[in-house]
Amino acid sequence: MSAGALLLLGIALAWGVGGAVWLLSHRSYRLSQTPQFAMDLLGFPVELAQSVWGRGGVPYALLLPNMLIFGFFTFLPMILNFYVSFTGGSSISLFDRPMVGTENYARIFDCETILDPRTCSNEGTSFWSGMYNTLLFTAIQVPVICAVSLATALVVNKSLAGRGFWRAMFFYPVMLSPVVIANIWHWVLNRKGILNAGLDGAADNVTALAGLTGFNMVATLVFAVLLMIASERVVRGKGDPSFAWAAVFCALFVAVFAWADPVAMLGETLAGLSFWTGLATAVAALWLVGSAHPLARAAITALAVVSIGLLLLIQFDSVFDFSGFRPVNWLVTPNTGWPMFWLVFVFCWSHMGFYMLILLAGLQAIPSDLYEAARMDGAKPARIFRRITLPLVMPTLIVVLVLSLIRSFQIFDEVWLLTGGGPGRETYMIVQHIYETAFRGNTPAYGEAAAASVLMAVVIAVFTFVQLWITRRQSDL
Amino acid sequence: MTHLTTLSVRALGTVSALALTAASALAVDLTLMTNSNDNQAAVLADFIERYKEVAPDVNIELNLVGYDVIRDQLQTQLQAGEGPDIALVTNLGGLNPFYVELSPYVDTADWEAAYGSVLPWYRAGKPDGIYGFHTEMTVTGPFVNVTMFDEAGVEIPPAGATWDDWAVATQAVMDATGSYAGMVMDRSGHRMAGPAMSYGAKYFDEDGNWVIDDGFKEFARRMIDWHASGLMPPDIWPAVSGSKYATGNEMFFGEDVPFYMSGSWNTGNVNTNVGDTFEWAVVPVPCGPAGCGVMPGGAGLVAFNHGENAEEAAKFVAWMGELENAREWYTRTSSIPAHATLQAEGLDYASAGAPEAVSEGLNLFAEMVAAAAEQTPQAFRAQGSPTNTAVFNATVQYLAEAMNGSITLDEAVVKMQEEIDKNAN
Repeated sequence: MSAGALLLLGIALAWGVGGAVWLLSHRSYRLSQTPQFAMDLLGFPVELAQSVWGRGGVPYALLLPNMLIFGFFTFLPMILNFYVSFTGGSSISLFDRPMVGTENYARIFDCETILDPRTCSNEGTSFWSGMYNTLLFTAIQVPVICAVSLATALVVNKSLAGRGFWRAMFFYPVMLSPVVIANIWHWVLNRKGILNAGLDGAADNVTALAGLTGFNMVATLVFAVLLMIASERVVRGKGDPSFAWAAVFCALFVAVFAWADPVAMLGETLAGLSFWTGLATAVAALWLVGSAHPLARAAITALAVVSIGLLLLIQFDSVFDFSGFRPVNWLVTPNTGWPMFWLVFVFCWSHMGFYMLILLAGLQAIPSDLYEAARMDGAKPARIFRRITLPLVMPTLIVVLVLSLIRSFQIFDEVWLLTGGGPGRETYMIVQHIYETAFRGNTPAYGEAAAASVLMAVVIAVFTFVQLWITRRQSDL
Repeated sequence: MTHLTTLSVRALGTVSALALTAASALAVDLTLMTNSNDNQAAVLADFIERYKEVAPDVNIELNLVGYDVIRDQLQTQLQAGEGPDIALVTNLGGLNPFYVELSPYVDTADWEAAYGSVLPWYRAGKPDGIYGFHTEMTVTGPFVNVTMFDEAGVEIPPAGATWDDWAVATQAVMDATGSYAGMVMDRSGHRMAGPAMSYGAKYFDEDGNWVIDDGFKEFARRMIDWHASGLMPPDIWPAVSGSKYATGNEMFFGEDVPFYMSGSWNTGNVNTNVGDTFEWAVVPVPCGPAGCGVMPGGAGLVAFNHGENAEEAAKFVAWMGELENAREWYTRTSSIPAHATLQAEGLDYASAGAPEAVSEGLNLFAEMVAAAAEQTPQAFRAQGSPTNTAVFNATVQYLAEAMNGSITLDEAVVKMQEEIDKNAN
């Protein structure tokens, strides 16, 4: 019998037999009081604690089992990890590991310049590559997931049709295991995956369509009609111009401007700048519309006229000729940024539901009379959001920020299965470094891995304390 | 009388119960870990079933895992005193501290005569000892998709052609057929070692230390160029980080590449998976100025010393290595034998249903390893070193980074040497 089983048996005997003896020696029960005896026996440990430590000791006695488990499975491993970080060798047995002092930490910091991992020792290269990639991932992913979660929470907080269904749908990925999530997205994103198959099919169809006689004329007409409808919707009425329709119009304008490429007429070297010029113009127009500027309508009308003129310059059959399309190797092509993009995307998709739920609770706690008062005062939705929703949901948002930051620092499963840290080290994260250092290869370096874990814990602790400090300052204010 | 009868019945019942208890106490449960390399697991299952006739009380459970589990996790399990009782491993020398010595259970003279050429690979530098049944002699080497070459109208380069010749030929096939890439190689330092030796990589200096030299750089530069040009796909070497293993099997089976640098252990697997999809063949390994390098190697069945049943585990391994069992094993699994008698006799793979391409392929692999023994003897020395995995892992890890452009080849070589000095020298 194992030690654990013996311990359990001992506890059971002490509780059952010891409790029964104690109860029967202190009280008398009739046969009809058997249920009461059973309940007394069940509550015997609490009664015992109360008699030994008094009323004040009972809460601690109740906490003791949990603290024992917590201490054994959380604090003890932390202490052991800290100890292992000062030892060397490849044995997993603590007693066979020689003390090496701070050597494991020194190797990590053995760099010419810490900002360029290539100049470090191999341990330093691996650690700092993982650390910088994790920081980059966190810096992109945390704001994105907070913004997307808040936007989703705002949407599902409204009384839209099938609200419960949408809430469940957004939360559903949270219930999936990271392995399942990674496998699903691997099917989608691998070279012969669903996304490339879809893009390839679409490219073939559009190319075939573009090859039809008269396509150029029809496409010109369709875009002209779309531009006219969108611009007319922006400028119609006497109130402020519609921002949503302005956004649609601006998107169309940017596409037309990029395809017509008018900047290239100014010189060969400027070819390709049209997209950015169009985008800058569209953003300026959107700003005018968004701020209800008096010139907004005139600007949209002017852009509509320009874009109709530009339509005549576009050869739509060549714009929509995708015969040269080649599948993109989303997860393995180096120096494209796609692997990191998809990691952020998949991570957001899979975790957003959890944060959305927390934010939804925060939103529902905001008293509705504040909104009613604001609307009666004629405040616009954007102003209501900025002045009421955002300040009142901020404490919840800070919680989400801390949780998502810690979680994104711990990213491993999805990366390991989707990209394996590649291409090269583009998505190589700090937890992968720790795992590989400790458990892969034929010379496991548990000491170095433990040192890296300690340093990672320090970084997470610093971030968390900073955020908690900001939260406390806000609540004090 | 009745009382006596009752007593007798009770006594009989007690004796029966004791006998049953004793029998169950004598039963030995063993676990055997292996990866699913073609039909090896199925053949092993047959042997396990038959072993019940030899040792009725020994129950062996087959634990089928991915190769990466055996390659990367088995050692950690053994260090923790866990893991299987028996396993089919490829890190022959590196796991030596965990092996059971088989000498008490085998005729040592017979085993030395039969498996003498490979036994040192298990010893990790020790002068003697018998530690495993070598289930397979392996040789790295290439497979080609003959159909793709035919469709492209490109001649398959003859024996003696260099890697550069093959790069030109496979590029021509790639251009003509629109295939995804021209050549693919498993992401493994072991696979790359033979070609590197063809270009002069010595792998050992005069003092016997592992070294990354100019010969290695010569071939490594080619690998980087081929990945940059798209002749080799980004999906295997550059795709992941660290020393993670990746196979080119799927790309070859899916006709994404006409040339696949793998090895003899994969012959049956290629035959099973390709079927009638296209015509395939094993071809002589491409050469370089220093010869036509391949890496020998193999897998072995070993018993581990951590359990209570180490002796029973060792007996099973010893039984597997007996001549007739070995003959059946090598034949049915289409493996190159490590047993000297069987090497001399030759094996009738066709009797086990192997097609002509498999028989021819295995014979060609055997020829390649014979030539490599003459031209690149350091390959055998490297295979016998217990620290070779550390070297192969280091080459994969940093060469892959150079392929992605995050470090230069020179920087990669410095980092490889640093890693090797720390873990292998």
